[in-house]
Amino acid sequence: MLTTNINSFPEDITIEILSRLPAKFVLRFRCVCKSWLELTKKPSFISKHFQNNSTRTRLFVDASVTSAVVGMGIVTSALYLFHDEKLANLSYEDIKPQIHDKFVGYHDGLFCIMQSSTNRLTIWNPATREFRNLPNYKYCNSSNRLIPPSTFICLESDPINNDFKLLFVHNLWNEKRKRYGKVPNVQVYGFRTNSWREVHGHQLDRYFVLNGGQFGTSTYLKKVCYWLVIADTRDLKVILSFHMDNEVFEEIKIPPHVNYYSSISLYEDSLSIVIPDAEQCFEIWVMNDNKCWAKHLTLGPFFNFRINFGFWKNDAFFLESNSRIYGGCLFLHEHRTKEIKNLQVTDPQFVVIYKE
Amino acid sequence: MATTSTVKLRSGDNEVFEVEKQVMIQSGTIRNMIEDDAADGEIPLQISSRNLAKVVEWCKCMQHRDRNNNNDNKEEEEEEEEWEKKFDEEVSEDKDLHFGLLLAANYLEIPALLHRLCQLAADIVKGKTPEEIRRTFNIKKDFTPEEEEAVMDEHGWAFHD
Repeated sequence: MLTTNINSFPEDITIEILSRLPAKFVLRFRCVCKSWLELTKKPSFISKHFQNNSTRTRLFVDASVTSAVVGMGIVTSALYLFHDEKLANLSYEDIKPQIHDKFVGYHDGLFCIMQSSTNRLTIWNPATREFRNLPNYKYCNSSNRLIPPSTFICLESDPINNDFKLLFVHNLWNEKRKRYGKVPNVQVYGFRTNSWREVHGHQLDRYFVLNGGQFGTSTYLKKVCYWLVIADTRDLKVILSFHMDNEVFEEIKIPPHVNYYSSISLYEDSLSIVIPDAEQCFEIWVMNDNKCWAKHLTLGPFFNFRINFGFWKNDAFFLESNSRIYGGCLFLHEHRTKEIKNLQVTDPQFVVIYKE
Repeated sequence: MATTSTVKLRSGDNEVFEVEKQVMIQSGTIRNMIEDDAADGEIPLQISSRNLAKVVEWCKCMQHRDRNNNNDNKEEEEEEEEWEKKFDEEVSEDKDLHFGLLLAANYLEIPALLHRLCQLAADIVKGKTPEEIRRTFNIKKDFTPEEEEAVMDEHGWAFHD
């Protein structure tokens, strides 16, 4: 007769079983015994859990809500996490953390929040309700105003240092010249060492990072960060990439007619550029593994809509209305059925395809 | 060079199973032995005959399915689905079989079987309370009352639906 004590099993099997549970159950079962508690806190378990659960994706929206209080309009922020993976049912929960200020980045189930009063960063995991306040980074305390930055959290563990990394990019305000400084500042945070260090890229002073906080100017795919930037000397838009593994910057050419209103996002696991044209249509260009661009499809025309927030599953994408009637509502457009659905969210700031 | 097309597996209770190599190469452990020409004699395994029989049956079914993947035989497809469903039910209801197969799949390095069994275990675990899990898996609660309180303080919210 074999023993049925699961803790006499190789640890790999226990990890394999527990990593298939939704995050809530993992936390619930941390109180089963000490070895389960310790096991589920290891980075290797967390990576595995994320991998096994990453097919469950849900929509997460950060939106502004104006509420009338004593005659004054007060703008607060609401965070909607939709329950239904297929968005057939539009119910959501409002999962506001206590210290919400401004979202500056998202990756793999973790959000990065910047407190506007102190400029400090906090990492927030809604699935486990865990917060981690990061130590002050360089220029954090300076009186320089920060341009809304773009942060990237790389949950892929860094095998050399057995760690997770976070990348933080921002431009500093130059008080003397009353403008943002040209050179983006790049810093990397290591979770294990709990410390920051600066990264000096090749000829970074040639680029001007656009408003990084805005959707469509930066994205992250397979351990590489991408920004849509202006190459200073040529006054030309290019994509600047940063490889989280070896911390190398690289410039990528983009289709020639990319215009001011173009944005980058992910389209079915590829890097894509959305280029609006004068006829209210949107061209979707997709980059292949050899860094070549091909026009994938043209969408539209859409009147009084902007493609602003990237793509959802199965060729569906998000539209934001800019008409007076709908004033900044978020819509989902199914390319196949040509159906447009109002997601009942006004004034979206940040749309994320959320994985636990 | 290996000459025969079968391998002989000897269970812990000395029953010998003769199985086609093509079936058993799903096991990383056996595949390595075949490649190293170390599979010509009987291969002794610390697995009971009951569990080994089940593993072999599973491997046969999977190989059959992979081979037939290209032709659209509806009837056979349904038959295989039926077999898998029965396998899942049998394993879910028999704890000793389930655990024995988990260890066997791990030892023999059969990833597909291991993943399936782990998924079944996760499905079983999901509906249980921590106390029921301890009972099912014979786990001893090794927290002091203070430690337990600390864990519950931190994660108590996860018990609400």
